[in-house]
Amino acid sequence: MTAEYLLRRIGVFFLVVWGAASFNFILPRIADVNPIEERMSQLASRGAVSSGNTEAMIKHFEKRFGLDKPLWEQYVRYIWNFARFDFGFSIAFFPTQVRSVISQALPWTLVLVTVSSLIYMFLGMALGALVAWPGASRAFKLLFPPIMALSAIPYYLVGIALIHFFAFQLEWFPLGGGYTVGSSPGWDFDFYLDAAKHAILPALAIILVSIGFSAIQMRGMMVTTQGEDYMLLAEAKGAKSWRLFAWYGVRNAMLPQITSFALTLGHVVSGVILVEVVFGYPGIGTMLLQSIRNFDYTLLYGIVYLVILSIALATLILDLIYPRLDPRITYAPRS
Amino acid sequence: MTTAQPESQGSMFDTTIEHQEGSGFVRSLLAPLRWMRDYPTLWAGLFLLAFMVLFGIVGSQFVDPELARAGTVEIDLSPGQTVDYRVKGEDRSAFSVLGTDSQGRDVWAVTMLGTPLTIYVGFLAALIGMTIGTVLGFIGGFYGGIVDNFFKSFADMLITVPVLMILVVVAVTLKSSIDVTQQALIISAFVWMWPLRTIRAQVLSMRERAYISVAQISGANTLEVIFLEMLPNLLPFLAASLATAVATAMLTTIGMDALGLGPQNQPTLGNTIYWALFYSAPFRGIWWWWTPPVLALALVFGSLYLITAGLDPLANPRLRRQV
Amino acid sequence: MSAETHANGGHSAALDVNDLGVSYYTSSGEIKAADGVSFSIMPGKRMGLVGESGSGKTTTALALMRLIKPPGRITKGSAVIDGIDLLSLSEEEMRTAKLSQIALVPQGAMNSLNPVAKVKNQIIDGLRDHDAQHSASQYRELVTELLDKVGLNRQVGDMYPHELSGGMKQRVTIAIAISMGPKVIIADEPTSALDVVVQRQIMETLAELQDELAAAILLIGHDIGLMAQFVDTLGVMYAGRLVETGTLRQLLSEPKHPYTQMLIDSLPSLERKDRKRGDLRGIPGTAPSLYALPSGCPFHPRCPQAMDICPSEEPLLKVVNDDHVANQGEQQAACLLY
Ligand SMILES: Nc1ncnc2c1ncn2[C@@H]1O[C@H](COP(=O)(O)OP(=O)(O)O)[C@@H](O)[C@H]1O
Ligand SMILES: [Mg+2]
Repeated sequence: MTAEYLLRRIGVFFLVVWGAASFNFILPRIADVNPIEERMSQLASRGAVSSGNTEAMIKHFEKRFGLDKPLWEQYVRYIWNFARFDFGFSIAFFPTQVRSVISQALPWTLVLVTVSSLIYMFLGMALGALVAWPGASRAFKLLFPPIMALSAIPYYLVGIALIHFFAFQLEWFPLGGGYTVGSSPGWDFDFYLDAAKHAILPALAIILVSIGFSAIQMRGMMVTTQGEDYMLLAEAKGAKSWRLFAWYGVRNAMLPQITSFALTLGHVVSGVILVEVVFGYPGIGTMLLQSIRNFDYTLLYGIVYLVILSIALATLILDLIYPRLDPRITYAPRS
Repeated sequence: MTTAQPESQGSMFDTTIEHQEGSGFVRSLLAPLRWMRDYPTLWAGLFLLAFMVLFGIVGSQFVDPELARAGTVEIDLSPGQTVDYRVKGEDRSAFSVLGTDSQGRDVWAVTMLGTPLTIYVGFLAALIGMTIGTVLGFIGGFYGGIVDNFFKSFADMLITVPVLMILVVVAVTLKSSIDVTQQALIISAFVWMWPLRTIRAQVLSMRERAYISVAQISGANTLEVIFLEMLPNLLPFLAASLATAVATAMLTTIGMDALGLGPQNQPTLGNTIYWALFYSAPFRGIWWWWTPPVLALALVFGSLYLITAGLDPLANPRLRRQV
Repeated sequence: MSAETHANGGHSAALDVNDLGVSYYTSSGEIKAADGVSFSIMPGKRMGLVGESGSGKTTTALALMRLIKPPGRITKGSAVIDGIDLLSLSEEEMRTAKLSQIALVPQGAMNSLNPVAKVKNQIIDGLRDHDAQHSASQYRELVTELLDKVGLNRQVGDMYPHELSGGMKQRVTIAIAISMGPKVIIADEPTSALDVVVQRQIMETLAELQDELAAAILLIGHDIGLMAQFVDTLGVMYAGRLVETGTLRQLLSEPKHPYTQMLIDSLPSLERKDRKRGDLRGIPGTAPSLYALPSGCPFHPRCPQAMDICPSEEPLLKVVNDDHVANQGEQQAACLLY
């Protein structure tokens, strides 16, 4: 991997992050709204924030954003704060820091996204590979159409149906949330078990829908690998069929999955955010909905910035580890 | 992301599959008819989509829009009951096919009016986005250079960003309520990237192929080359891109709606889902509130999926041999 | 090149192919890509198989390896090694026979190696699945030895295919093919994608190793000029049929089948070293479509010596030896002239 490629790739990362931060800065100024002041008085009028507090808050924000200073200085200050993940106080939860509000929600989302992505990738690749493999059971072919049909529907709509059948009617799972209300989040086994029970349906909504994407791409690639010359030679070697399947078929066919995962991560996360909204799952999505309803701009901007940053970071990491999976990609200068 | 897809070069099986390149204008006009016979999936998708559009457009003519307003009818009535409602001072009663919601709307009326609205937003945003993407793709593929480089890089960057997040910021900050057309316009700014990539790649690969150069040498001007030689061959790609773009745009619009950022006071399918969630309908077992919009959306998304899948063998002839 | 007789008396052939038939069943009909192909190769001998592109050479090679995939199917025939008919073995028996009895050096070596696996693992792979009970260090030694045999440095074992040149890749596939000392090696255009200098080197390596193993080799190619320098016997394919077989000398000096005659005539003089590439391109007319094969002798529309019966009667291979070359072994042609 050349330093040049690395630098360019990291450059793109910072460009995206800087773009996200600047966007948050510029938009309200173009729209010529001072959301902070406006919303706080609005909230105060609804009695959401006590008026004594409001005074203090407005002062605080004016000072923080240096609204009396020239625009470029405000901008530099703003970017500098975002770079340090300092988003100031949440308007709705004053005087809690946005950072600490987010850090409560973030682990929930992170675990949900990671675990369901791993599961759907694994199941999708397995299903797609087996459907395309002549030696495999016909049963996989029967699984394919329903999985494909589900893949056209957004996660959270499937989530609503899952709630109705499995939580409301059959009562197998709790009705939403991330843990049983009243039980305090702790680090003991019972809490984990409870949290897992709450996570199954949201995860299932994501998995059921995503398997199809992964499976259809995998199927196409598996068909392609079977026409490849290396597969023919492997068969001519008398390699066992599991080896043909795993090391010649799947190993090659899975490579584009990594790329598509990186490309669709944004969609996946947007989908997960809505799934959280549907289930009232205590992650970033529910927090986002709250910030929208509360006109909590500082929280909203913080969340959006962090989500964009996380996805850019994940994409960067995937891009950098890709050469480990595909030796043909070295990012080395062409010789 | 930099990748190399393992391309088989000259595997012995390749030579046996003849892929007909369209040539000539008449043939390209007849092509759609041929596809319908040969591609049942595509056909089924188009049929389903046409049905959903007609269903909405025709159906909405027979629905009293008042019924889709909150507070006109009794709340939480399950399907098949007779409801009383007040419109313009008159008391009426009617049979409610799909029941009523917790805000006093008739679910049938809401679904009927919402389906065309949501499809409209999806198509309008997609068509605008497609046009932008296709034009940029053609320019980029044909002329290359710094402009091409800029848009290609910008598209690559934007593709990885969660568009919904940006739209949330826009919608919340602008705070003034938008209507469906404005929503479509905003969304269209984020659906041009995939068309650009697809068309650009195709234009590049077609430029390599012989018949374009022949046409260019024989003195045809660029526009003629584009419209007579390239566009007909790009039809499957354009159609597939459009179907994908419509799906993406619809996904985005109902996503915004479901977060409460949709056009206010419009019974779009996404708004209906927002209110159903707001009133915890799934947790209260009021299935008739969310089922119709979810089903309508599933059918529209399904039809778009069938169209894309049906076009796949045309756009990627390599796949054909698996059948 | 030897001129001794090996006419079927006494010792038996390393590979004996009889009436092999392969068809592809496509939507536009059945393609008989190989039909009634019969030939045999004696141990330690090299047979060349030539023919235009699409004449069924690869199909024949793959059929012998039992690698014909749907929509193709082996419809008839036998291929006997050591008294065992490969075509009637069970899947598992055939799997074991590959590499140990019969091995393939494939066409298109450019893409014949798994792009994501190191060369050494691709060599070991095959051995592992033949239940070779070797320790890791034994495998390492074996890989070094095999690479050495095909003229490659031991470091190549730790490299990935994309780091190798075309010639090196082809050498790796040869190393794989000889890794279990098979009795028969099939090399399908092993040099077609390589430049002329490398072609010769590869052919020499292959010939050397085959001598060492005393294996029989079926060498497929369309460059008769190159092939003539390596093979003992030659078979000519046309439209899925073997139209003529015999020793190299017989076919070069006394070709019987009009198609062979045209082939040989179209070759630049073999003696002239400066133009020895003899591609089969200079034949008038086009190769027939296998979907709609001409009736009778499939060559008759292009044949300068066609007779009235040619469109109606299908010729079979028969012995056509001229007396004065009888001692060179059997020469057969499928032509109604004889
Ligand atoms: N997978 C396949 N499906 C259909 N036809 C095939 C397939 N593979 C080969 N053929 C046909 O079989 C004939 C012989 O092909 P091949 O054995 O590859 O010829 P050669 O190796 O002599 O060039 C060709 O006409 C080709 O069209
Ligand atoms: Mg061949």
